[in-house]
Order: sequence, then structure tokens, then C-alpha cells
Amino acid sequence: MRRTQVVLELISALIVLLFLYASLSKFMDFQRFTGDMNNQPLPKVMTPFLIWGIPSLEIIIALALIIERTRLAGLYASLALMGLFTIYTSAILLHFFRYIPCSCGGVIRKLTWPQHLIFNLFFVGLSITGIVLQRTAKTISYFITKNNFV
Amino acid sequence: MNKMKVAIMTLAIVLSIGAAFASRRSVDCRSATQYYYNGGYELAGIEGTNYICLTGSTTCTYYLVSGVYTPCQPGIYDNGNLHLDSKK
Repeated sequence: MRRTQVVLELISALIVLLFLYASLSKFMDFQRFTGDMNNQPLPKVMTPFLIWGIPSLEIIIALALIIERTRLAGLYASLALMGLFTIYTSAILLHFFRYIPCSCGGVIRKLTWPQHLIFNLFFVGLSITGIVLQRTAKTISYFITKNNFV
Repeated sequence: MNKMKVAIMTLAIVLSIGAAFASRRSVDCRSATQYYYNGGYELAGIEGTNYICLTGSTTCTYYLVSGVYTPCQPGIYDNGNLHLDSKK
């Protein structure tokens, strides 16, 4: 039980580290991030929504993971966002778009697209593991509480 | 257990803020006027509107440093024939 909680805490902390770092580096270099988003093979009308939406969402997910009551929701949101990034990365690698854009987000921009895919898959895996562990921990604590009151 | 939880999360938050500050570039070459090389140096325009940089090993845009054209963005200069809305 204790080991599960430690692993869960470490997984959450790693995802918090990723999302907080990614969002802060975007806000700190907003001009560059806007250019990067314009560089993506997506309709230009989406840019204003994406440049504010993505970093804001990343901060919200990080906060949800920090607060224990909202952690499971945060893990699901993390899985959804990393899943979308992974689908987008795969689409780029499969030449689904007419050109290959630059990758973005602080030091992460130095990764090639195949490295990006591995990086994303690692965090998808972490989110799934986190969800499984969080659900298990919740179930166990429910039974412990129930047995104490019976 | 609670102390350890707080310690792990605090470390993650401090590391992410520190890393974001550490990886921030002190001078952004992209805030300077951008040029591209096409036999000679020409004004590149506004990124995302007039041009984009595609993935590639060459230099996409240059900027002037004491009269010298210095590489800024890596990649291949594309003035919008591929996809830019402004050219449609």
C-alpha cells in the first residue's frame, strides 16, 4: 500500500513537472510559441485558441494532479492530452500533413519527431499506470474505511 | 508519508519553474528582423503569415548582428506556396 502510494506520488510529480515546465516555457517565450503554432499544419483560425488553450490546460492538469482529491481526474486529463499529442505526432511521422513542422516547447523542441513520439508514449504509459494505481488505492482505502465502521 | 508527498510535489514544482527559467533564451533572435537567403539576403517577413520554417538541416532565416547575417532559425524557408492562408 505504502509503496503504491510512493509510486503514484512519483508518477504524478513527473507529469506535474512536464506540464508545468511546458506551460511556463510557452508563456515565457510567448512570441516564439505563437510562431511555432502558426508553423503547424493546422488551420490558422485555431491558433488563438491553441496558444492560450494548451498552456492553460497544462497548468490546470498540473494543479489537478497536485490536489489529491482531483488527482484521478488530472490523470485522465493528462492521458487525454498526451494521447492527442501522440496522435498528432504519429500523423506527422506518417506524412499525413503536407509538410513536417518544427516541434515546440522549451527543451522539448530539440527532440526529433520520432524522439517526440517515444517521449509522448512514455507519458501516456505513466498516465495509464497512474490511473490504475489511483483506482486501486481508492478501492483499498474504501474497503479499509468500510471495515473500520462495520 | 504526508511529509514525503509534500516534498516530492514541492521538488517537482521547483524543478519545473527552475527549468523553465533556465531554458529561457536571454536574447531571442526571432524578435530581430528576419532575412532569408536566396542568392542574396532578402526580408523574410512575418513568421506564420509570410513564411514558415520547415524541418531541414539548412538555415531558414538570418538576422543582422553588427552588419553580419547570422543564422537564426534552422530549417527550410517556405514563403507559403505549401499551405499559408494569405497566399490562397
